[in-house]
Amino acid sequence: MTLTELKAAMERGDLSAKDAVAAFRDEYLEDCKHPQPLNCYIEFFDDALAKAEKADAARAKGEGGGLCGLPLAVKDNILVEGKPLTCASGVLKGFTAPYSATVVDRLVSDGMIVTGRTNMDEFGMGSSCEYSIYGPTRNPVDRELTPGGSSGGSAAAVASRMAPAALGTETGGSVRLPAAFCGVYGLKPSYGTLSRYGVVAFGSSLDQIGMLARSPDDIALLLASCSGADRHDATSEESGLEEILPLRPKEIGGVRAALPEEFFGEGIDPEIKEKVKAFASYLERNGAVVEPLSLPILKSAVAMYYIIAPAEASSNLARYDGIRYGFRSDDAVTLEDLYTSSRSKGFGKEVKRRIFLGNYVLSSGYYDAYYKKAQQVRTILCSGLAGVFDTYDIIVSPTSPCTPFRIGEKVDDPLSMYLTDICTTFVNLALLPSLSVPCGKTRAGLPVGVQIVGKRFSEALLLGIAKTYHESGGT
Amino acid sequence: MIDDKTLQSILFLSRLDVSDEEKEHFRKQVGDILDYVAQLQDYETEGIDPDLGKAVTVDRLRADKARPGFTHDDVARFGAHFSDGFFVVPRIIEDFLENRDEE
Repeated sequence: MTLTELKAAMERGDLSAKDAVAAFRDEYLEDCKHPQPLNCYIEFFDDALAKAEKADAARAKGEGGGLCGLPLAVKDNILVEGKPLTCASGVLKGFTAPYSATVVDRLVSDGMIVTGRTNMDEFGMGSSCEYSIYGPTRNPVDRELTPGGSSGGSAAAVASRMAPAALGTETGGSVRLPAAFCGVYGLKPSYGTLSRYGVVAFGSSLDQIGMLARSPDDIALLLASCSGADRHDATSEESGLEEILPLRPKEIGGVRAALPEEFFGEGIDPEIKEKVKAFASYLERNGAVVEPLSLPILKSAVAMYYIIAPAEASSNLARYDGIRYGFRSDDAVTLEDLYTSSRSKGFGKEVKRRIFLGNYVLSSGYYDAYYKKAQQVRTILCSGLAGVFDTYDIIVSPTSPCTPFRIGEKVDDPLSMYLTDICTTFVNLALLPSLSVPCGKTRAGLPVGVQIVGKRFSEALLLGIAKTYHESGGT
Repeated sequence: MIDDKTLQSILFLSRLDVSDEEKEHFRKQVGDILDYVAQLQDYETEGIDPDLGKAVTVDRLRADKARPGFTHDDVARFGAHFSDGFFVVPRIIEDFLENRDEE
């Protein structure tokens, strides 16, 4: 059942929250017995069932919020009060969250039950969910394949029916890519739609919480509950998305869609191209205006991203010094040793690589050539995209240039891994919303995602188009 | 190619210590990434504002009122070594004095 169906079943009295949580937990426990477990949950919380019972009692008294008793899985870099949080990193081993992220707080206040924390690439750095101290997450479609990253645990939990919905986070495509790889919906909201308070910072000008679910309605349900300005985050804004429910199918006639040539050329899997073009034809058949577009700067988005994100990460991750929280190395003699030893033993190789790269591009002598340059080109990108949205309502592209790859296939080739994000990073750089929509499978049975990007705070439009497509049965 | 001096300097700034083998991986992999991002040099950026922040930060001021923060007990649970209300770290004064005498 989708989140929306669960909600309806609970409201009718056909299903209790306790039974729903127990079913998801049983699915998880059953998977743990598999010779190759999916490893999508780091921990399924022991108290989830008790909380579900309380939700049932509240509902019986006519209390509880609009999402009373609905289960939700949460990525291990979003704080849930009283629960461990590690960002899948050794450096945060032993840390317990002292408060909940605003987004979690709002969803729980509305009655949701956090079932557990999901696996991820360490500190959100990766595109495959392999860089985790808990080991890789596997793709439910084929366990030899990665689920995509970094929110691979959240996507796999939703796709394998271990959770009806999950929160992930994005810095360059980390919700949408796993959504595409696992065949579910993944929304990266506009920068500012959701508060980042209580999300472990990676790249502060790019980070956003995102949602993974099995229908556009489910994502709208979550968005309505947790969006809006937060006094703890000066970059959060009133987006009006609290009013998104009931999500209305969008009349596709008259929608103006642009197809950037840059995402349909060399390097894109021909079968993915075929599926995304089929989605574009669907829009056209239903009255949309679909036109090719050339915006060459889109091809440089990954280059901008891999300067700006590591630069911000190297600064954000400077706080992990072995002093105030998490892991501390035992064999340090001096204070300087303590910093270096704790960080060297606590961080994994991808995180170290990005800290190194970030400090390199920020260091004296390289700052202007790399970081400042990337930020200036980012400004050009944003202006170019603003121009596109003067003419078009949406941009349509593949979510990923490739189908899910094998576990271990790209771990020693970071540049190749980074290029997996070629269709998604421009969205984060330009602060836009984007939705990955399942649009069929390849002949080998692997899921394909189409990406719909809109103007800032146009989430209702993206979800409305997806709902229309979803209800039509797809292409 | 990142030279030895720069490599050591950036590792020091990063407070990271890696094996010689890892250093060579870093040199190669980060070098590849820097070669890739060099494409940005092709853009003319003279006079372009690099600060996107002002477009997204809302001037939302909070009332200047003291509110409860974390208690010492809360902080002690974060996982670090904590005693008598303080973070405990290795001594530094003796090291500093010793190093100064040696110099």
